[in-house]
Amino acid sequence: MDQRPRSRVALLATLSELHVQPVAYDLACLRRILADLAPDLVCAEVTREDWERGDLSRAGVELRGALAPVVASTDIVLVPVAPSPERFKDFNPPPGWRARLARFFDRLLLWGQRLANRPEAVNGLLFETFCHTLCSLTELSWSAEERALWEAQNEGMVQNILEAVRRDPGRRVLVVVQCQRVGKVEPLLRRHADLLEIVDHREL
Amino acid sequence: MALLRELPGLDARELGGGPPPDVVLWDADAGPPQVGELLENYPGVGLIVIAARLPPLEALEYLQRGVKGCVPKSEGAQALSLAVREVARGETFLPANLAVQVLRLMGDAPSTTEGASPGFKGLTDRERQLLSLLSQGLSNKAIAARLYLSVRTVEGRLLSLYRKLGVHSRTEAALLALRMEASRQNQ
Repeated sequence: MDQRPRSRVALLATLSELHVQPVAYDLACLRRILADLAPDLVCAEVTREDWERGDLSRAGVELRGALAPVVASTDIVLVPVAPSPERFKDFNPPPGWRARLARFFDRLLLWGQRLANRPEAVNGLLFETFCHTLCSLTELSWSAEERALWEAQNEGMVQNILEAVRRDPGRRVLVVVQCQRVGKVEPLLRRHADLLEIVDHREL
Repeated sequence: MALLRELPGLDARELGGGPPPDVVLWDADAGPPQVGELLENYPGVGLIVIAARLPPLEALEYLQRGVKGCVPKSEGAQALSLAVREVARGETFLPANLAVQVLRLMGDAPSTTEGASPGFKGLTDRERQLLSLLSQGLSNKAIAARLYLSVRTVEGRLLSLYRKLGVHSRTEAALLALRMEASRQNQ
């Protein structure tokens, strides 16, 4: 029987560049949350290659402006878990009515994004439900190929998170991903209750 | 001081009244008080020296007098933040490149670690990797970041490594690794 301790894992959703519009996002709040939580490990949405090269140009603004600076000056270790650099905004529907529908959902999300401009609001139930619904509808407007790529990327990310947990079991792990992924990543992580326990980030 | 106050999780103050500090930072370029006076007035507190220039021999002399960390000003705020955290934990801190130069200086001096450690041959690949990173002068945080492990896990594995090698500190372990490497190259 495996006697390794379970890791406590919390997911923290960030806004990043929701679709094509970068929006002012209070990164000072995110820096404070990370410094206060002081997890042992933070799993972040950047590829290992980019992170080890020091190239954060393809990573989200929250990594460049909040995660990386806090990690550099504390004992928190960043584990890059993105299998590839694409983000939600890089997946696009084919031209025509699907593209128009996706743009409509974009505008709705932008509206919601402007209201939820702090980590606490982004991780609240209201925005989470709103974002998850609109993202699911947007995904339906993509081609089957794009949906498969998105699913594969999320599965790859979960595998990298699990690898981090297996490598260093029993630690406090904060997974910071763009909000569009949470609805995909969290259910996949929950299947591994032998390895980890999902908790709210405030209880990490 | 302004720089220190911006670093997360640290309570930075001028020396003077108030509760005793965990770590004292002394700017060697700013003049008195001197190292001896600080070590006498704050026994048991980790003293870190910062200076514009810190040649390896000078850093070694500071360490031999009881200073716990030496950080050239050119290393920047992040190195300083790491130094404060490591020294507060009881570790000695030197930036990686300075640590290697100091270790090589120490390796030229007679030492109680002379002779191969019997535990060296029994090291696993992971332990050899850890020892290699240690001998490059990397801090616990730098080792953890390289291996994608938590700092706590690295600390635990290092303690286990010291026991296996029959040494009592990272400096002794690093010296042993450097000597083993040197003797391998001489063969």
